[in-house]
Amino acid sequence: MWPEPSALALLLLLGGWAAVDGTSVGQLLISRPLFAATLAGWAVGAPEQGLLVGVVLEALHLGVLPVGASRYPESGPPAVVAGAAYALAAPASAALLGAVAFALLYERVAGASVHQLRQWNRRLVALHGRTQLSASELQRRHLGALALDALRGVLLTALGLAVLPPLLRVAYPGAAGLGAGASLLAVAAVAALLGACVHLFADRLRIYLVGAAVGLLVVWIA
Amino acid sequence: MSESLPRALRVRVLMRSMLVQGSWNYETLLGTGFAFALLPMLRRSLDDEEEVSRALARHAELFNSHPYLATLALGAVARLEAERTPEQVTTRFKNALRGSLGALGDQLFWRSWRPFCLAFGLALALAAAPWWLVLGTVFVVYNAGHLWARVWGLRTGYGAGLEVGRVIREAPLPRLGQRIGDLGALAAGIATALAVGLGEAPAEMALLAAAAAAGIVLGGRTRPAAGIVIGAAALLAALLERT
Repeated sequence: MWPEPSALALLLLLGGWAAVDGTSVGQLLISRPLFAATLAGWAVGAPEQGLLVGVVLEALHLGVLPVGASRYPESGPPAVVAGAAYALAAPASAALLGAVAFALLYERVAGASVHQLRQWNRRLVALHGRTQLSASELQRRHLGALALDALRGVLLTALGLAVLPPLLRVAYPGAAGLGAGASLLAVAAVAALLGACVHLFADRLRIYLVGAAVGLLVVWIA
Repeated sequence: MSESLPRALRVRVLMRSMLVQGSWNYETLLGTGFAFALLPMLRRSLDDEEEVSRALARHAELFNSHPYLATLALGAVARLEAERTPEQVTTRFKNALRGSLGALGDQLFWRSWRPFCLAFGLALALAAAPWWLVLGTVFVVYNAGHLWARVWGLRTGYGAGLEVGRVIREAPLPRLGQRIGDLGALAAGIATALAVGLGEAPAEMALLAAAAAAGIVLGGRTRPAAGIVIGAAALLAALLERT
């Protein structure tokens, strides 16, 4: 039900990394659900299960744009939690829906923590009209804010991992059960979200349909 | 004045630029991070630590940019500081640059490059590629573009100085954004078809195709609708497990 201690340590590190990768450091895609969930699955020995969660959550996040100072759900640590929890619960396929549903709710909590962090950062870096700022003080404040973000990610991951794995075990004790239906629903959601992407790419419907034709050709040949 | 920075200094600034949003907040946005990333270049150009301290306080004020294009501003401002440009000129320059770097970066990266790469990754995953191939390919392709932008930005900004606005306007960036958007739509279409192809019977494939069509029609409402359906199905599945 719960990950081994070594896997847990990896997951907490991954959660911290996914948190800072979202805004503070690099933005190299580790915070994206496709990466965070798959790597979480890998940490507990089932990367393919993590990838399933990652695909569904990534499709849900394609249209979420971090533009300006908007507030948006944070996907990184919740995807780590969902990917790991589903990998531990598999092969209960219906647990995939439970893991994704939990991640969608938990992203709101994570997003609220980002908002709070930014309020703390404002106080941490405020100069109150000072005209000099030493290099050491600047670096201390800046890196301190970054460390706080990493800690936030670790705590979010820890809390999520304390809740979701036992929840999935209780909610979906059966192995096969509604597996086929759950899988079909998940794929349908991904298909719908990919369809909605045409608007993300400025309504390039013709090019989208050309892509769909190419994809169908691949399916037919394979 | 040399048109380029020493390699070691460029590397240090590029590494620091990766942390430029480390203290992002609603008041100064990435101002503190900007000063943090600029520090090595200020130490190279200015006479003593007191001058550096005054420059850091100035540059820690309100500033914003897309994180990948912040190096354009960093390079340009480093050039202005090295040329001992009056503070008011540098401040006005930064204010003028702020909006355009944010909007340009959002359009190029958050609305085009990243969704294209991720849609491509989804297509690979739906085509049953190994998980390590999916992540490895997307990571390398995406960050090649991302890191190119940072490196180009620093070199261009430092070379152009005050003229960087003109250089940005003349660069074929909008056309590049258009082409990436085309690729993104193509990748999304391929991924959709691959998702539909996962149906094990004609009836399932028809259902999946209908879901894709519903997504096209619903547009931005698809995400909340999908969330509600998934949540309801998860609850229903949990209840049915008990009967």
